[in-house]
Amino acid sequence: MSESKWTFSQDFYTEFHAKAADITSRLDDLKHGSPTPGAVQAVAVDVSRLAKSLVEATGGLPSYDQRQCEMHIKSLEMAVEVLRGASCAVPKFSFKKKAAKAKTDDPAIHAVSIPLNVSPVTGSVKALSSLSCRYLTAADFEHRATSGELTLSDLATCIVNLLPKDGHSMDISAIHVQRLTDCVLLLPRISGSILLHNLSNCVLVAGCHQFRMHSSTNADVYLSAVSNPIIEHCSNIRFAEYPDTLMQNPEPQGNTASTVQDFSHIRSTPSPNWSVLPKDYRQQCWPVTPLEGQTLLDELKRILPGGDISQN
Amino acid sequence: MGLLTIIRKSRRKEKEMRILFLGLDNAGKTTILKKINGEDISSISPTLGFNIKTFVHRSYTLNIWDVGGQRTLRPYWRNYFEQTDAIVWVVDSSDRVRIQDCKEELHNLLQEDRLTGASLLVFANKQDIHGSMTDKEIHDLLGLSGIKSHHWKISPCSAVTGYNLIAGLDWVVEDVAHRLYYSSMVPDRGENSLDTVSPPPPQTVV
Ligand SMILES: Nc1nc2c(ncn2[C@@H]2O[C@H](COP(=O)(O)OP(=O)(O)O)[C@@H](O)[C@H]2O)c(=O)[nH]1
Ligand SMILES: [Mg+2]
Repeated sequence: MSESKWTFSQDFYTEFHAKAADITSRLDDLKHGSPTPGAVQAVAVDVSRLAKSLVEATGGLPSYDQRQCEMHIKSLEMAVEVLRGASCAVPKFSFKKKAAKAKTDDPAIHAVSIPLNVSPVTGSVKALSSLSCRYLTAADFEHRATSGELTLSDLATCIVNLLPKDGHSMDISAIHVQRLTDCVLLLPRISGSILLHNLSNCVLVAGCHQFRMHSSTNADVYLSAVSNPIIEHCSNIRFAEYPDTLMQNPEPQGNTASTVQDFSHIRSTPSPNWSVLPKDYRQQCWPVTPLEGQTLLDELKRILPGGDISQN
Repeated sequence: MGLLTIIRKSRRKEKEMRILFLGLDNAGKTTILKKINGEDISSISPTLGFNIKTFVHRSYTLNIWDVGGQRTLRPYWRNYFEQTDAIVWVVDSSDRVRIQDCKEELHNLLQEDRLTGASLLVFANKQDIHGSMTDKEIHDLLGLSGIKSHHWKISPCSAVTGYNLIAGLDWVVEDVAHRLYYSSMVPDRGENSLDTVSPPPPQTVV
């Protein structure tokens, strides 16, 4: 890459993230206040301006960065859509309460968690949804129920760390993961199942009773599962054992990698859709402490399989 | 007499029942069946396609079909509908996220002509999980009171502890038996139940 192009991409990247951060905080405010259609529209205009500047920069950015920015835009657009819905419909939940809660939270790790679909069901569902460029922990959940299932959806360029901290573990019955791109998930070992749909370019550390992964590509899975993990409509999935260094209490674990079943490849020949992650490629160093901004992105770049898989 | 009729008659004579276990993936269908059978449930893997279990319960031979529940398999459920005496719809009571999906799939299922008259047991499974929905909640969320086309019942249960599994199965067997083997007054299953009213002709050879 030539010198001038390099400078351009650096500048663009910095400016892009500054603008995106500004939009994110405005979305945050709107979400915690009571959004009027006009206010939401104003943010929407800025999001589309930012999207336009990205299109214009095409060719001047490294493809990885281009993709990161596109993803970031997408998540902002999604957040706007959700707010649009909320600004028109009668709010089902009180925004005020959350505003109060938001103040007490550490702003550095507070997430713009906007539930995509406000389900009629109340109860112990913990959700993280529609976020990008974040380091997320258990503190970022909307519901702080002590037990129940957990949902992670529509995340891009995030590190999610739910490993037990200071002996505090969450009592999770199941984990549902949907539509994640360029994310690293560090999950504790749970006694229930993990169900995943539509992941791309992700790294996952997980321990569970059953592992069910659907419609995903380019993922590295560090897994400890009691039963045979299954994949369906997946490609380029690489499996390894749950890392010793993240192990909460040493328990005997199954030899997961050799028992993967591919529901899309019901033949005696080996499935072309998964492989065992070669020892040399396995991560030794995990991002267990919060990161932000460029350091977060650099860390993702270092860990994600896309670093060496998709160079388009 | 067609072949199907002969098969039906012989099946009735041998007091067999065909039961379909359905529900979303991860509901616990396979675990319930293995638990009822006294098998190890500690390392059950997700079901590829389907399992068939045959065992005798209260002097009836039950042929139970346990069909995988992930979204991609649901269109194939219909391949198993023929000759079904009862449906056991298994619900993961800790899965609030997908309860709406669960409701829709159930109601779609009940519209199937080939399932007309089949008894329906809804198992509100995983009651051992702290904070899971009660059978009352699930009754409401699934809109069970709107079901007029089938005899139904909802039972809370746990495949892990075994709680209520046998009682649920008892209800299924009794409900089906009542309809197939003892009902003689008002046949509610059209020609099928008429078959069972009259004893099979002695010359029938299978
Ligand atoms: N805690 C608890 N877990 C259960 C129960 N029944 C099933 N499970 C778990 O739920 C997961 C899915 O079970 P499985 O029988 O494979 O579900 P299926 O897809 O409906 O056949 C497994 O991890 C089981 O151990 C139950 O009653 N309680
Ligand atoms: Mg199963």
